[in-house]
Amino acid sequence: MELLIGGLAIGAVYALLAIGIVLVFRATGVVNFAQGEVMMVAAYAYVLAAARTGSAVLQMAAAVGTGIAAALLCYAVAHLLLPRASRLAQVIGTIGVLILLQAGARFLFTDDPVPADPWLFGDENLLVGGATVAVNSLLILGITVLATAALVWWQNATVYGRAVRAVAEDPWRAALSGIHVSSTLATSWAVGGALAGIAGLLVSPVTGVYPTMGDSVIFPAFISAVLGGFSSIEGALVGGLLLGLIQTYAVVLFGGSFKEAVMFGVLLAVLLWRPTGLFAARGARQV
Amino acid sequence: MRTIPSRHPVAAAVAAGLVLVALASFVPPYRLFIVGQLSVVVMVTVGLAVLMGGAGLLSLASAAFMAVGGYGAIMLMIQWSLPWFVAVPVVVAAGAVLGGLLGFVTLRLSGFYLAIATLGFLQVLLALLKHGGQLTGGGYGLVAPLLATPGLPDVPAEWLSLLTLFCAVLTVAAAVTVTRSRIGRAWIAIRDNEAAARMQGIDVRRMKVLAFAFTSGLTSLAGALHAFLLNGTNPSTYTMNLSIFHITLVVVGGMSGSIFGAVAAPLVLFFLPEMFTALGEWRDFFYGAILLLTLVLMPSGLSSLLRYLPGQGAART
Repeated sequence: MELLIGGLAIGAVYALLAIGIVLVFRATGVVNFAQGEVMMVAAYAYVLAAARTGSAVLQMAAAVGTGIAAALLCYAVAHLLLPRASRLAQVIGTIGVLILLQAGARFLFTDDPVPADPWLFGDENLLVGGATVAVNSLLILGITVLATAALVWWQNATVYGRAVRAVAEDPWRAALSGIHVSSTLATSWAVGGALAGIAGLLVSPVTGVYPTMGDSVIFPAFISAVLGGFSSIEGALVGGLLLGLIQTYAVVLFGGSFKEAVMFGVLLAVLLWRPTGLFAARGARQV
Repeated sequence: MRTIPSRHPVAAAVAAGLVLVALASFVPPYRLFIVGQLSVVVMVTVGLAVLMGGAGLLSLASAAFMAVGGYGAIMLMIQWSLPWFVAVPVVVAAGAVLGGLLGFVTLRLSGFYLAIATLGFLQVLLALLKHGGQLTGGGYGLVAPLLATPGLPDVPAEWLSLLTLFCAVLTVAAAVTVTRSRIGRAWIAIRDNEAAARMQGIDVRRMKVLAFAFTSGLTSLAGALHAFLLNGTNPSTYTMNLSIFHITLVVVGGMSGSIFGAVAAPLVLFFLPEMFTALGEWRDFFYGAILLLTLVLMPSGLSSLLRYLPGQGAART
């Protein structure tokens, strides 16, 4: 039970990042390599906010706001600075942002991990069915599912969400129907940044906050997105949770040194047998 | 299009290499080490430029293939006591095969899956190297054995730098030859328009795998020489940041597959920071900024300078 919840909680963090990556990729065709750094910056913002204020709302606002700001920086580089560049150049642009954010964090805060307190509940445990479960893990899981549900609702039910989807499908025709394309694209990046911000807030008490924390989550986040077919939000959520479970049980079975190898195996297996993701839906994008 | 100024490109390349090595042997020994290091970086950049510029594929695995070369060569020498001149070709071949396999698996899909798979490959390799126990020396890495050559007296350390320089010249020559051959033109055709290239009868997948194998082989060679130069390997050398540094160099040199740019960029970026010695803590910033500035202001990088040279009216694009 502890393993199950723990694995799902790790997976939820991967899922939050993966959803942001998928949102941006679907809308713009750019794979954001700086998504892990967006999370890292938000985690620092949370730690700084937690040191100054006890208000959970303000702490959350600091993390999410910083995540959005960092994601908009990526947007600015990929679309405003490199408007007519090739996709490859835009992706390398996000790698440039990655270097800058990492170097900035290293300069301001040094390489030493900063410990963080769990948001909202502190280090409490709960007895569920005879097993002790960290409240923080349940919190991560709950918030992730809620955020994804809200996002799916927003995409399907509101005008703004539908505009985002329309632009993703065909920017030219979306523009013809009166949608402001560039601000809609920025919205996609910003929503991805907000999710990365939540991920930073939730993961910092588990791992501590350090400049290269993005490096260790970006690859699992990519795999989660691949598991979900790189085009669907629900797919990325399920993919992330699944990967979290696989990783946790792999560590238990084979030991920690094979964690990455198992993940890589999962990636190759999916790429070979189900390139459209595990849950290929109708109209899945040809990859 | 300019042709290679000799009917015997191999002979010309060897001659050019020997001349450069002869010149470099006048360099004082402590500087020669820097020459060797720069040669390694040039080799990796040239290889990556062929892949990124020539074939339009993004790879984050250059650090991984350097590790394959470095660890592979030293492990062959320790475990099977092979002499270095056998171990190096073996790891180059192994690197090429490994790269080809990685490309083969991922290239059925769109381009960015390759980037993701290469990132994964790097992380798996690093994890295995760190946890490899005696075989890989764990977190400390391996120490290179003496590079003894039977029948010859022990080579002084400077010779290693000269050998690296010579290999770098051969690498550049090989890259120039390949990019101007049928294969290189096929890569450019695929990069510019994959569908059109396929219509022309180009076997797109085979060509992409070939590009990846070529680059991986070259990078493994550079990695092996790098490990010899540093007298060993350390897992913390081969991080994602090293790969990103190589990508930066390719971008600064020009993402059009220009070999000139790939040679010039490491030299320029090596000597530029020397001028700003106060850079210190800001070095990473400097590289990030250079990367973005080049993308924005000079999309075809240093290779666009070639246009201003006489006799280069029809510069390669």
